[in-house]
Amino acid sequence: MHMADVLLSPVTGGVMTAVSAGALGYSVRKLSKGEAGFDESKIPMMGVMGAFVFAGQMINFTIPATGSSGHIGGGLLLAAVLGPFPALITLAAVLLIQCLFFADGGLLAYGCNVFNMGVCSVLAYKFIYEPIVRKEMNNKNITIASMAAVVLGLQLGAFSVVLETLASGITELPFGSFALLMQPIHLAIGLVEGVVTAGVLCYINVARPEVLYSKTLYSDNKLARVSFKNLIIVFGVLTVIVGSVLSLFASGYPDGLEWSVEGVAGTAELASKSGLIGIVQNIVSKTAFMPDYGFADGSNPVLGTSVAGIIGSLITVIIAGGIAFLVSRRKHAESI
Amino acid sequence: MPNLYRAAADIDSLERLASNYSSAIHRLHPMLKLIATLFYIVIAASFKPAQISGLILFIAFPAICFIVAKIPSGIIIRRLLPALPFAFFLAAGNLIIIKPLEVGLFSCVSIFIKTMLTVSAVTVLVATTSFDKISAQLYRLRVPKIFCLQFVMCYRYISVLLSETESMYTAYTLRLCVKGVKLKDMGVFVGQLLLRSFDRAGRVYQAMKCRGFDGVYRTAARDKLSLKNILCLSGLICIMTVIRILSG
Repeated sequence: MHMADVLLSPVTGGVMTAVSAGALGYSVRKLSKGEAGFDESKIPMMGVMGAFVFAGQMINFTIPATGSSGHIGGGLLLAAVLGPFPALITLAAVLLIQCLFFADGGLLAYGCNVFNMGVCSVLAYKFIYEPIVRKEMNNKNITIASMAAVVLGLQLGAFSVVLETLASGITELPFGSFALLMQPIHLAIGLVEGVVTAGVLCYINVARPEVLYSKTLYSDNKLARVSFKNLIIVFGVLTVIVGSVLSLFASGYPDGLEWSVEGVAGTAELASKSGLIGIVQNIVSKTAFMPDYGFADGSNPVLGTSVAGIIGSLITVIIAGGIAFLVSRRKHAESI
Repeated sequence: MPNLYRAAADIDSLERLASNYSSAIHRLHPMLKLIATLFYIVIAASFKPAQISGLILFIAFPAICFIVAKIPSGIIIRRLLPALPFAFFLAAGNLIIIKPLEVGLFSCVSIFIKTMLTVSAVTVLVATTSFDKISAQLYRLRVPKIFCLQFVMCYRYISVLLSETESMYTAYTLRLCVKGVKLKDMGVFVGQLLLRSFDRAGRVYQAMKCRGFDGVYRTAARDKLSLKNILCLSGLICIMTVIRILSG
């Protein structure tokens, strides 16, 4: 999944380099603070494990009944042994070596590759693998967690490749066709890679469980503590990205309900001006300050969609947060 | 396992090229080469599909470097292989989708030329600058020390772990008489390699500690950018910018 320079415009490459530099800077800050038990003894460990990922990627395994072969990705393996922050730094170093000395990826595309293969893998580890193995660290949970994390991490990475290439304007392939080409291929790759990653982690869990990062955390009961603040920040950033950027790629076709109504009535929107429906429509048309996800005067539709996405997300957060706050207060009062 | 042998051979050949020869390109300051390469790639990537004439002029830069630094042409062909599948996929897509055909053809040719240029630029950099010098420039550019340390250590241990993998693979194939590791054995095989790497990392740390390692990687004295180098870099940037502006 290494992207080459030719797939990117300088602007997209620059933006993604800044994003990845931010993620790497955050990881470096975490490690320099000595979080997750990081000390100087881990430095050679990171270097050698980076070399391990490189060597591991050279081992081709035969995929039964297909006549083809595959290799491990290594992002999740590194995170499972080193922890997420050291894993991201190590993967970034491996990717720079691959880019410079093996022409796998490019210098302009370096930021994209760190994001697609490093940040996505680490996010999959943090939000999929870790919560599953936290319950109980047995081979069944490790297998489920590895499969899910590798598949979803790869899907996220492949989708990022699609968005980055389209944002660069290099390909004329429509978004839908490009995504349909990329996602299923990486689903198949992810399934096989997930099986191998699960096999490796289960073997280590049986042979040398102390090697696994989650095992050391689990035994100290540190893993049970999830930072609520960090969770809010991550989901806040994701919400803004989805609301402002991904909403621009939303399909212009009617949704399932509108499509069904159109099939029955011949139009997607029913124009009833009488009775209760008329009253409600009247109220909605007066209160809707961004009709059809855009500015009321219809100016700048692209900016309108992004602003509508962000404002809609914020209103949802405020309403959902308000309800959660009221419910928790009531439960607290009942318990007293 | 051809991948394994090829990776080891690539590292070896690039190290030899960067260290054993001494051409005018080799003698240029590493920082100059690093910045010029980055600038060249950004400018080459900024060309639009119709501006093929400007892109063709850009071929002159790596071509001159290849001749002066005596870099074998086989290296560039080998290094182009990983970048080609994606380029081919996009170029073929554009050729089919873009109408009229001439515009699609321009886009297709432009993608292939850009692939060649960007890969050549990085090849010139690594074939004329030793690994130590590149990593020293990362320190100089204020890249976090822990990242630089990982970059150096990872590179140094790649050859060690490749030979470890090679031994394990040879043992495996001799016992089972098969080509490639079977999927069902992959967990144990890679797991065993991981454990060996883990143990080796422990030994490496002990050895480094015995030699006074305190978490900081120290490099030799830095050589300063001379006025000649700064003028050379400015000249290169000016020429590239002028070509880009004149291409429209």
